[in-house]
Amino acid sequence: MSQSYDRGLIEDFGRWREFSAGMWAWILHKFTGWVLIGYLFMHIAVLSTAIDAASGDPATYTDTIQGLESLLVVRVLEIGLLATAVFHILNGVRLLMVDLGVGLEAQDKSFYASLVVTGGIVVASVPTFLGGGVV
Amino acid sequence: MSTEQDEPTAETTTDADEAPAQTPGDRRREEKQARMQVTERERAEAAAAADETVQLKVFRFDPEVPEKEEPRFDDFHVPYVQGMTVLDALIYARDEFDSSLTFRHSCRQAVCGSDALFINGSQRLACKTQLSALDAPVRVEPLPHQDVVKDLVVDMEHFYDQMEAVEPYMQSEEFPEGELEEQRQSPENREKIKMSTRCIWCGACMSSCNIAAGDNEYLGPAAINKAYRFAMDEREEDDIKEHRMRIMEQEHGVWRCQTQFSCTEVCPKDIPLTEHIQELKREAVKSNLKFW
Amino acid sequence: MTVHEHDVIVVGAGGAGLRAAIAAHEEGADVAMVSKLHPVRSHTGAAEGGINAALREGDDWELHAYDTMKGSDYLGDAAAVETLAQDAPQEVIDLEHWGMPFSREEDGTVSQRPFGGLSFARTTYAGAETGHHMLHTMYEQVVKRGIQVYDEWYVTRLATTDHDEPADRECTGVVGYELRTGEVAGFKARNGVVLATGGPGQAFDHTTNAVSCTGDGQAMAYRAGVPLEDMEFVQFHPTTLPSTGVLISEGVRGEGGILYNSEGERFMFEHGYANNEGELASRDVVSRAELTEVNAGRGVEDEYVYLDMRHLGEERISDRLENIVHLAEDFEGVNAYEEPMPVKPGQHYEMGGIETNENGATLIDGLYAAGECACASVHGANRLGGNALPELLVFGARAGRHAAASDRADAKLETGRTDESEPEENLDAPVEPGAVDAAGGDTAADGGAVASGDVLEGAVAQERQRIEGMLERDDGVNHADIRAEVQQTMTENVNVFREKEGIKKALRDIREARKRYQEVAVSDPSRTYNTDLIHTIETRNIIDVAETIALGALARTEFRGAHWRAEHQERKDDEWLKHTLVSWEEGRPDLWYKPVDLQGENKVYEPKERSY
Repeated sequence: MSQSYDRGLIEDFGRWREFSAGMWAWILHKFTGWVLIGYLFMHIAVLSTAIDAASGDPATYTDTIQGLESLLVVRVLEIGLLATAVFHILNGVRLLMVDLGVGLEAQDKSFYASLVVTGGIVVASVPTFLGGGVV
Repeated sequence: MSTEQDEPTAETTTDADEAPAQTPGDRRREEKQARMQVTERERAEAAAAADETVQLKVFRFDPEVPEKEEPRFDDFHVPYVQGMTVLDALIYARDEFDSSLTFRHSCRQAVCGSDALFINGSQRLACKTQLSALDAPVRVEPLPHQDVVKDLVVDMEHFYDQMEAVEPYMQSEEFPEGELEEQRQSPENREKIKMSTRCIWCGACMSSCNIAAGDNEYLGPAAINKAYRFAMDEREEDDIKEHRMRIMEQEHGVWRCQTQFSCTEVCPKDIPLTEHIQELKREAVKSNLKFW
Repeated sequence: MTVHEHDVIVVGAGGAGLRAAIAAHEEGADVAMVSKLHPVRSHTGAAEGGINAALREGDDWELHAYDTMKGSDYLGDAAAVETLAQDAPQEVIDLEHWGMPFSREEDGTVSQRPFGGLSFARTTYAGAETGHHMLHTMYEQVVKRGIQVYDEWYVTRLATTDHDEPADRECTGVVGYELRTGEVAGFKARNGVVLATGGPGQAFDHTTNAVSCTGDGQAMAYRAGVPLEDMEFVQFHPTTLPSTGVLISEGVRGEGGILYNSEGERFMFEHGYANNEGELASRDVVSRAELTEVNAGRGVEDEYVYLDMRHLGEERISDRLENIVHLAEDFEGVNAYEEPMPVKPGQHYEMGGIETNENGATLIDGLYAAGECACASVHGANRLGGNALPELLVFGARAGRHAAASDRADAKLETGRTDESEPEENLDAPVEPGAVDAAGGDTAADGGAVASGDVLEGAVAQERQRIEGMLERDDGVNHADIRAEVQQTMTENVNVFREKEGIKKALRDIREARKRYQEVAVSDPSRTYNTDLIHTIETRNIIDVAETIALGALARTEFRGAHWRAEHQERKDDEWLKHTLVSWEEGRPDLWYKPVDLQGENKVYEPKERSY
């Protein structure tokens, strides 16, 4: 009797070196989506606790924010957040086009365009985020 | 016929006398091993003799042969000639080096769809993939996401089941009354379904699709494309189209597609699969939003 | 022992097999198809050109029949030719109703285009991939009807009784080998077996045929006692790509493609091969013209000529011949929009085959054949482009219907030896053809008839023994070497140009191949998907079929249709208006002849000169 060989999960996602544009777009979209959801909940948590704390002494809120903003790593994370959001928005628009059947043959180009535009906006934002201290 | 059979039988008896524990099967395997070593040498010699060779790394597996029970990769050095395809190289390797190398192939011209393989990390038809377009060594594996039967042969049953699940046949029942009269179809409509009718059932798309890998019940790009071919054909009546849309909208139908475009990338017939799936999604939405 | 029992067993699932299965199913029979490939892998899918059918005003079946008869060089049998022409229109309409995506006119009707050798533009088509669409459309119907398909089951022999006279034998089923599991099982046919196994293109090394076209059905029927008819008539397609043998459809010439040689001459006209039809002359004329050009030193790289369609314009090319552009690019690296395509003749079609009448019935009771493996005979000495697809529809359907029905209508054509048949007595064969150990040999082990007890069970047991024997044998010749020798000698000596000494050499080489085949061994010991075993069995079939081709070619001392002999440059109607038949008798091929039927329904087809 013949058997067959199940290669299991090893092959399930193929080889990342061979991923096509559409595949990368999908992965990045999922990834940025989860990051944004994570950030959203963190944001809500921070705000809701900050309001409680601020009801005692408004300066605590300002101090906390200023303290965070004085850390370089936080500034860099903010750039990351911008990049994540911008890519997710642009690729979201791309997916909308795909759903409407517009320009499907250029889907890879529109993915690269999303990346380039994201990169441009991020680079342009660097002086704003890194320069100019928080008052 | 009969005379040929006598000799081996006689031999087997003598062998059995000397070493009673050894079964004919063992002996065969031993001898085969010895032969394999010889072919190994020949292989190296042939490779040295040829001007230019291409190295193939080919996936091997056979549940019945002890040395192939654990999957492994074999190297073949095939003399390269201008215009050689991966299939040509595999045939050469089989005919000259190891006749147990197993793969499906038939037409050699990309219409039978037998030889979709995983070549250098993507799904391609071996017969229409030029070796010159690939980086050496060329890695040849069976299609991912399907069980391997032997070497490069995978189990296609699941693929066929999905293809047949979409009722892949014309269901129109209203024919013109005249004798020898065909149904009318506009050239535009024929053009619309043209690409979708080119499918050769090779399974490359299904193998490249992550969603199909994770959800065994997902119809997959090829089957959805087949449904598209009929749903868009104006010769079928509206109620049949509605019936087809209901199949497409089910849980494991078109909505599973996440537009990764992997299927469209690998399709050897250049069928815009994702486009067809998206169009069916829009049709599904339209047929459910009847209030305008 | 496993026995699968059905009313009708169809062997092979290409166009003819699918059509036979559908027809038998429509008759209410329980049908099963057994094929060594999944149906959609069959080689019908590679047919490009189209389906001839007299559908329109101004055309009628008699014109189609006349064209076919003329194209056949008066070696087609009138009853079969007329049946083809009469039934083809309904078959095309049925296909259309099943959803076949035919190319269309502006008014929505099925388009038809001109094809070589036709007096009316009657070739219906679906782009340049007619066969693909036809195969898939018919497989869809098989799925719809729930017809059982045993795919990747290789039929290795027929189960026939062993009466002395082949005409008394009966076929009760077939023996199959499942690739996946290595199981040998019987398929019992209550009513009939239909062979639809396609052509023997692999007897040649430059062929448009698939690797699986190994003449299995022809060889099995031959060894079971059915004569093979007109095997020497092998069509060489004039436009195949030189490196792979991939076919460039006649549609290219139909649409206006032109052929020229290395000197830029449009040789079909300029060298007078066909002053009226030019590139659209029938295939044998064009093939010989090309080789004559190459032999005269006017070939490109001494091998091929050019086929040019650039002047048709991109729009027309991409509309009607788009897949040709892909083929040229993928297999020859040529951009057909910008440069001419290199082409040379390649083996394409076997006009001959298993002798049947116009209902697909063979000499053996319960055994039918249709499609390329059969010979009714429609194509005679040369097949017209666009006539193979209607043939497999028309005769596939008829074979299926007759195999399913219990009462069988009489046919006009007779099979087997009659009072009118005559033996070949002076064949100058260089070696004794046939099985190597024929005299004392066991014909059953050869795939022949079975003696006692249940015929099918006996056949399964013997086949199991044969297969085990092949797998057990350890040291021996690899079948691939033998196959390559046969293919090379056939291509060298029994191709477009044939001469006596060459054919004799081919027969000697085939004899050598047979001797070496005695030592053949399957080195893969596995029972799982053992393609080595399958190919080894196929090679035996190739040897048998190649031998019948060479024998026929040696015997026929004239030039007719696709058969050209260096020593005999004219058609000899007085002597050779007859079919060549080869029967396997106790391991030896026996050559004999039967007259051609030129008596049509309304007229007698008088042989005329075939000029285009």
